[in-house]
Amino acid sequence: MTMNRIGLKLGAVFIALIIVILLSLGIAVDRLFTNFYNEQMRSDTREIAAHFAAMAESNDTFSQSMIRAFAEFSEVRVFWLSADGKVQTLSGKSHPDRSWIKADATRRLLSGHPAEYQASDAQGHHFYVVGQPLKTSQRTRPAIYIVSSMKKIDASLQRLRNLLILSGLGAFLLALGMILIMSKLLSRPLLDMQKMTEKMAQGDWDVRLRIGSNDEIGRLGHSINGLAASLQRYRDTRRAFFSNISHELRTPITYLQGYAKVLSDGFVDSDKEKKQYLSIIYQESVRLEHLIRDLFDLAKMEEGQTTLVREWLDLKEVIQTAIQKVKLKAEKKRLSLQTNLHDPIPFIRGDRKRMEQVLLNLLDNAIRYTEKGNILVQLTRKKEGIVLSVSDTGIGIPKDEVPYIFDRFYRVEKSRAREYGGTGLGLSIVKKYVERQGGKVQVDSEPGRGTTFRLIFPYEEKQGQDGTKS
Amino acid sequence: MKKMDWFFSLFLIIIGLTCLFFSADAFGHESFLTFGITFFKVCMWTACPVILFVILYIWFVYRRK
Repeated sequence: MTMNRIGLKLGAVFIALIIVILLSLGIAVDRLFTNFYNEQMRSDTREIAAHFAAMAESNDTFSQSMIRAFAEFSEVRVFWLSADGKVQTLSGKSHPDRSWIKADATRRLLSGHPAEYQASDAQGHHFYVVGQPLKTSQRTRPAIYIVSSMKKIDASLQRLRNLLILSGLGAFLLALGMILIMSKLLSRPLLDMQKMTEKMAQGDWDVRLRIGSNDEIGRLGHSINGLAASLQRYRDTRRAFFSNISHELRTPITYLQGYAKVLSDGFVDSDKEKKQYLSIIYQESVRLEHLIRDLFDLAKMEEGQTTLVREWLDLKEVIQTAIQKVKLKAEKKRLSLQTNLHDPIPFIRGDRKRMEQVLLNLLDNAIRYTEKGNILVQLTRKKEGIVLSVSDTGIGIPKDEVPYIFDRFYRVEKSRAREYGGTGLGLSIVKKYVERQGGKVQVDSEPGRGTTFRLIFPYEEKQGQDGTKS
Repeated sequence: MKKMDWFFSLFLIIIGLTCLFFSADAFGHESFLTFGITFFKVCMWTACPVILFVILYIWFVYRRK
């Protein structure tokens, strides 16, 4: 029999409650029966005393023998109280046991008032005593005492008390058995949760609770399961992240080491070859720098350390600036960079620097994955908000890969990743910055036809759709 | 709950009920027959509301579905 601590506490509280209730009830029932029997005794003895007093007042020998017979029949003892305060038996002898006689009762009787009280003798027997003054001309015996033994009542009460104790014990054992079951059943889900959280603390996040109820404990169980799932997801993502980051960092470093070694060992035939190797080292170092910068940005964003400087932004201006920056790249690949910014667009609240970075990342990607055709940047007003779209006529993204393109280090063309360049973090940064500025990102793509990224920003509340600030 | 827990709890419940029925049948009715009759009466009084509650619960669940 094992008893867990919460079960023990619950059980102890219930048992304490049961004990308090049973004790109070027992005392109340005991008093009730004692008082009932005492009252019954008092009433009967008073009645007998009244009858005996009436008989004694006639003061003839027949009455005395009647009193004796009735006393025997009623199981009471009758005593005369003489005018000098002495108690005598019916036959006129002095009564040897005077332990039940009270002086104040005798005084009351001699002054003509009735008296009644409970008394006990040297052996511990209880009596109910009623003293009744007699209305008679004879002054030698002015009152009688009726002494009724409480032996039977005491025995009955004692038996009743024993039975009460037995029923109390029975009720206590019954409650104890039920409390044991109840505290076990009530504390089991909590113990399961405690065991599960202990396992989670030790790094086992695959465990799940079986939840059978929908109350507060059930909801707590759901929350713990949700927490375990989140932690598991976090661990898996972190593992993938570290695996990717080590791979992504190792590749350019390997290039740098290899070409630097070739150059330092003098294994070059011509200046042209040397320049080529130096160019590769430069490109790889730039790539490494971009990777570290992007990683730093992402890490800061995920830790919530990036503070956005939000201001009223003219998106057209931001687009023009970004276009200017990537124009040269596009021209090198003979790509046509077009814009459609004719709609009157209201200002939005955003961080100029981050918004420009978002746009540069999208344009960089578009240029990187487009070999011929054009890149179109459009800014339009739609019902759902301001839509900034960047479309290209590049290689496109297969449908089954679209949900993963915003994951860190995810690449559509894995085999040609080095050829295309990039860090694999650009779209993650785009998504995070856009969402932090209240927008959302949508993608439409068709392999071989091109891709369109749409950034949708809701209209600002303080600004009407006509483009004016209020 | 383990079997031992169930056994211990049921043992306490049975002892408790025996004590209660014994004291209920005291004052001249201490026989196995009266004990059995009282036990049956108590069981019936307990079973009736339980059965009623179960029927209502099943009906309520069925209505909700």
